[in-house]
Amino acid sequence: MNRIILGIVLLFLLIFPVFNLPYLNTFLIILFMYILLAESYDILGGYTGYINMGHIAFFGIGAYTFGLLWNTGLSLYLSFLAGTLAAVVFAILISFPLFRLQGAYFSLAAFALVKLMEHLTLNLSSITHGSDGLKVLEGNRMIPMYYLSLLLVVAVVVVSFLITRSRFGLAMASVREEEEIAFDFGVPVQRIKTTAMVISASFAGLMGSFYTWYTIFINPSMVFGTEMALMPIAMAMLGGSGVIIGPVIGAVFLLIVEETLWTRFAYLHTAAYGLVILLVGLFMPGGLVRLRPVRRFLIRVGLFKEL
Amino acid sequence: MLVVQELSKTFGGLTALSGIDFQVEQGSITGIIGPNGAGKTTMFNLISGTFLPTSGSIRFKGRDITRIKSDKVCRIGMSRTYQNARPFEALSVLQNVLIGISYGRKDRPNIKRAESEAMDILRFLDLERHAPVLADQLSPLNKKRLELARALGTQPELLLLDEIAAGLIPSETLEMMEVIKQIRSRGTTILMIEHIMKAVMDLSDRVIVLNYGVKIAEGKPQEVSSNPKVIEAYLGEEVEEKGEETP
Ligand SMILES: Nc1ncnc2c1ncn2[C@@H]1O[C@H](COP(=O)(O)OP(=O)(O)O)[C@@H](O)[C@H]1O
Ligand SMILES: [Mg+2]
Repeated sequence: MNRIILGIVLLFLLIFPVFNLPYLNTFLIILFMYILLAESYDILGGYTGYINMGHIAFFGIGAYTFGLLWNTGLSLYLSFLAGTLAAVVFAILISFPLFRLQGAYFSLAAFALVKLMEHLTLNLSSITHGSDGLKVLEGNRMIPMYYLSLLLVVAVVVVSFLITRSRFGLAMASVREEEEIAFDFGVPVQRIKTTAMVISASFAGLMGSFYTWYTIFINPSMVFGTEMALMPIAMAMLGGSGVIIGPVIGAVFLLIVEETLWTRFAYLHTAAYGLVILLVGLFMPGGLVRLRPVRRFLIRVGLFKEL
Repeated sequence: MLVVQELSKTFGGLTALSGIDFQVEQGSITGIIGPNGAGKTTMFNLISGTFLPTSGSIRFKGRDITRIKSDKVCRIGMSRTYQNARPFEALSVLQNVLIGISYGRKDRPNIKRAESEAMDILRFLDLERHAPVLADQLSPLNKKRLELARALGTQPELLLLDEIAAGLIPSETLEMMEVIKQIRSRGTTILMIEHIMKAVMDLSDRVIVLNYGVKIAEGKPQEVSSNPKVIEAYLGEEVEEKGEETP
């Protein structure tokens, strides 16, 4: 059943560009980006329980690294690779101090890193052009961009699925449950956390690179803004953290709401993600997918895969 | 198998253990008794590598493990249960055991083999039909069994049991003691902290008595239970316990 549903959705998305609907095409690319950010956030947040409020830093670092290198004339592929690697290296470096912290301390320290990056990109204007932003060559064509972003989403979902079926995923869940006890039973807790963060960061860094390629222009607040930092968390929490399909549903839901409602209430927009996190935390801590009827339906069609 | 020498631990100003010496023979069951706060659990935390001792040494299978951390000690062949059962609550019973099997020992069985081994262990502990159930749904007895199952998954040569019978009704305690005997007869050495006197006395080859962080007696169960120091240490305790147990 789940294969049939996923097959139909995927087939539809694969042939979608044929319909030649530019507005919806753009919408889907943004949707893929949001899904990827929420889903990659959840690889760390949902399975190891570390709420990484700094996830967007990987995205922004990927975005800037890509833009700066591509502008020097480096090939597109190498620029993508560099954007991804920069995020991975950053993840490895920060994982050592960050993972000495737990709970809210971890989250806040991670968030502080986003603000640090925002300030750095604002103030190192000789490299980043500060608040004027970074403009890159227009190399975009809608169709390859559509398929690349679709490919990235499929990849992150497949990786999440493989994780839930592996020893590694089991170790991540044990870390989420009781870190000290996991360690007593031989789980290399530090390594598991770092690895989870690296996987999570590599997708965000790659997506950041893609974002620069796609929008042609980025500035610090576009990639390191507070809204951006809260977005993946709000989506994952709303949909349901720790369930593969949760962040996907959260991203679809929030983007649709955003497109239909918030464009008319510009002020709400800024506060919205924070509000979603607050309300979900208070009234629906398991997210949409764990509401009884939704959960029952997802289980019946075989799409409720959690760790 | 296990040689503990001059082992001491202080927490800030509090001396939880001082100058403890003892040995555990391969294949034996050794009981540790003593009033609440005597330092029994602390001793387990030191042996298993969860805490670092303030001084003293611990040798296991001829190897100095004094400063080796718990993840590695587990892989060397020692595993434990906790006084207050602490399974991974949001994971299934099967997953709990799989973690011990997958990470707690030197060989790294693939997930298929790990699962069939886990099911064998669950069958042995009469938990088989609970395999897919989340650990926090289990009864207290089954939580204790699960703790045991998770520890057995690591194939320990030395098993540390911290009050595994605490909180169980007498018939359950009896059953648990049967299980422990069977584990020993398969060749696993056992070091157990136990509050329930009869259980320790029936099962143990040797008994160690702690009081206020010091070893006050050691020997065969009968010797220890007639030791005046032990009787004295337990007189106060009896009163406390009766107080605790009235609901
Ligand atoms: N992590 C710790 N930090 C501070 N004091 C502790 C810690 N663990 C145990 N203690 C203290 O050490 C003493 C011995 O405790 P414990 O080993 O748990 O005793 P038992 O298991 O024999 O009842 C107690 O006074 C306890 O308060
Ligand atoms: Mg104790």
